[in-house]
Amino acid sequence: MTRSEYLEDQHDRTSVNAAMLLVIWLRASTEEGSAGGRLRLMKLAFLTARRMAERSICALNLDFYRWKFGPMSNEVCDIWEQLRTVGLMEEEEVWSVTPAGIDFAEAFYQDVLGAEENAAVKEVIDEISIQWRTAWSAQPLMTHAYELSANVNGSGPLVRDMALGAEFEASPLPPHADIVLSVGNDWVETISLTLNPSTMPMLQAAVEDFRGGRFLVA
Amino acid sequence: MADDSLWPDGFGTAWTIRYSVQFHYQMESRYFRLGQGRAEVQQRLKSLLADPQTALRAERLREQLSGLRSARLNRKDRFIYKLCVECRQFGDQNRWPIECCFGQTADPSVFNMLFVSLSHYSDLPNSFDIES
Repeated sequence: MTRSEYLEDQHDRTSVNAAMLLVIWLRASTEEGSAGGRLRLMKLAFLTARRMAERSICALNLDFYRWKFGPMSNEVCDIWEQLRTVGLMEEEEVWSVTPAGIDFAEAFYQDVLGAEENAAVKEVIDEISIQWRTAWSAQPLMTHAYELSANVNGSGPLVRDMALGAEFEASPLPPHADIVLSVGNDWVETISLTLNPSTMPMLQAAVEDFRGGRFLVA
Repeated sequence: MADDSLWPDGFGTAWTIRYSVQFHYQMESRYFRLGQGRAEVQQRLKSLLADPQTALRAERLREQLSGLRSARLNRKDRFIYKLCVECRQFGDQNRWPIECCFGQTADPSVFNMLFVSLSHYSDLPNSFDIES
């Protein structure tokens, strides 16, 4: 059973992208928990999206364009800010996934990606994270990305020869994708609320109201 | 405090509804007072109370938010609530517990409205424009 209703709503799709990226960055982190600099994280996002597209999997819907240091996505930049704002990632010299982010990413990995219908998606994430986990610097990822052809089917110039600003192919969407990431609405709602910075303060205040007897009965 | 007329007794349902003060303050806010916001909340809440476990895309939340439910007020905003009947059924007493979670028994007909989660996505239409 494929639960892909989230694809119909831009907000939900962005939320699921954020959860997917958090999982990728966590699993490709060093044992000390560092995920790396922005360049490394951006390339991990690109290489994962690219591998998904090569296998006709719709699971990470990001738009990339060629920029000064290779493939770039404004959505990834927005997601960094979201994850940082709600305390799932933090950036000092490099990015790392916080303990709350680790719990969230592991739960998503087990519950959603661990489902049988998402085996192909999980396989890509496992491959990418194992392949690049020991590549601490962004350089090997950039070199690899530059040597890929612009298009998934092998046509077009190499990435390094693309003009600045040129867009990459969009990720496959149904009905053109053979496999679609299946996410239950319970997780879609949970991700959306978790990424909303006002959720926790409001929730704590409301719970305190009840505990303090500050409620009205109808 | 909110206008009492906005909150008829149980909307004709069997639920005993308890609203946090936080929720009342939200209903008094400019966001809900303008336009049809508060009337829409009332209408949607009535729909939700008809079946709090499935109406308005109601879902039990996961992970850090487990023990709570959300339902869609509109495309971007959600009701966040807790049902006493589920608290005991699923062992949720320790997940965001409220005062009745600590008692020996709970009234299964109690619906606890915590707050409305307002989306921070400013690019979405700021209106009550969906029926799903």
